[in-house]
Amino acid sequence: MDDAELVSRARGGDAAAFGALVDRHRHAVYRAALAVLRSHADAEDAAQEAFVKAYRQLRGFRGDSSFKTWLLTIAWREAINRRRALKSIWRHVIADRGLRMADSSDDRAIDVAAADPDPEQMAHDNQLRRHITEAIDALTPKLRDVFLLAQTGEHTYDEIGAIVGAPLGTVKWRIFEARRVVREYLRQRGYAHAG
Amino acid sequence: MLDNELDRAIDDAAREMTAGGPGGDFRARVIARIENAPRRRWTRAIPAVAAAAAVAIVATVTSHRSAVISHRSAVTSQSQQSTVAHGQTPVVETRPTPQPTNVAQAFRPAAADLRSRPTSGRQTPRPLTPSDLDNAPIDVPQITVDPLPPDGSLDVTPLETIAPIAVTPIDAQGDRP
Repeated sequence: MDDAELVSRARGGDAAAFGALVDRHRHAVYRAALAVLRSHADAEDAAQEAFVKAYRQLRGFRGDSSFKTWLLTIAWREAINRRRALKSIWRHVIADRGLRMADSSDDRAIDVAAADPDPEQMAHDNQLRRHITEAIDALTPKLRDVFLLAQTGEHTYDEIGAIVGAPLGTVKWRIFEARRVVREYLRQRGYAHAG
Repeated sequence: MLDNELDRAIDDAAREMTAGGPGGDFRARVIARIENAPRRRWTRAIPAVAAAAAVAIVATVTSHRSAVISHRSAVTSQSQQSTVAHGQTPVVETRPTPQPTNVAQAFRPAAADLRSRPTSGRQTPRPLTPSDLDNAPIDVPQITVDPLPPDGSLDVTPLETIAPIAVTPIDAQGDRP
């Protein structure tokens, strides 16, 4: 059953049909929110709220774009508004620390499972990853949001343009510029690159 | 480190930053929020907000009207007191409508207010002082007139008596003599 049919049923009050839509798109919505909020707890809340709002606004969905794009636009706005509301710096710091701790634990798990568990290489990779994370955090919100949204692998550039409300060329430029700035950040810290 | 290696490291790190997914009961929580959350709370608040706005408007209008009435009552009582002081019968009235007998009195405070009101740039004429009226006397000789005699009746010379003119009556045929 495709999205259009599920949407039609959900409009008629079929909760199971909307539940199927939630199951189908929850990862994309969650990752879009995470790209903006950088906190798993906030991303979960924002994703839930996005689905609730989408359900209430379902009658306003005209089908000009795909349901997924429409849903992600709602999720994106919700995440942006939530980030604006999160004025307390300590909350961001705690969330980032939690995310980084989870990342490092994942790194360790990957490294342990790797075929070549060279301790020196592990330390080098961890340091590089930490620097990349710092560089991405230091990007401007417009560059960072689009760059991370693209990195989720859930959306095409056209979809990203529709979600953030920017032309395709702007989306591509932001991704390119974000990568360039991160490279420059790494080069200044001794990660020289060639060719 | 080569460019492609660096790019791969950047991609991996960025992907991990957005890795993860919602909890297992995500769908159940969303459905529960949809079913339990009150729909459109603001629609319920509309009557309360409208009632509060109406009360505020009524209170404002009432307080303004009572202030105006009390001001007019004060003006009327002041005019009545001045009327009694002049020995006239006081006019008992419930509404502060101006009466013909005390119109001047009733408008007197308003005139006073006008005098005390700032003129907003217009110049108020300076009141005259007695020194302003002291003009220098004009140097002209005084004109003297002789008094009339006590029985100074006018002497009128009588006119000469005119001799009567003889007139012949006209006869019946109408011929002149």
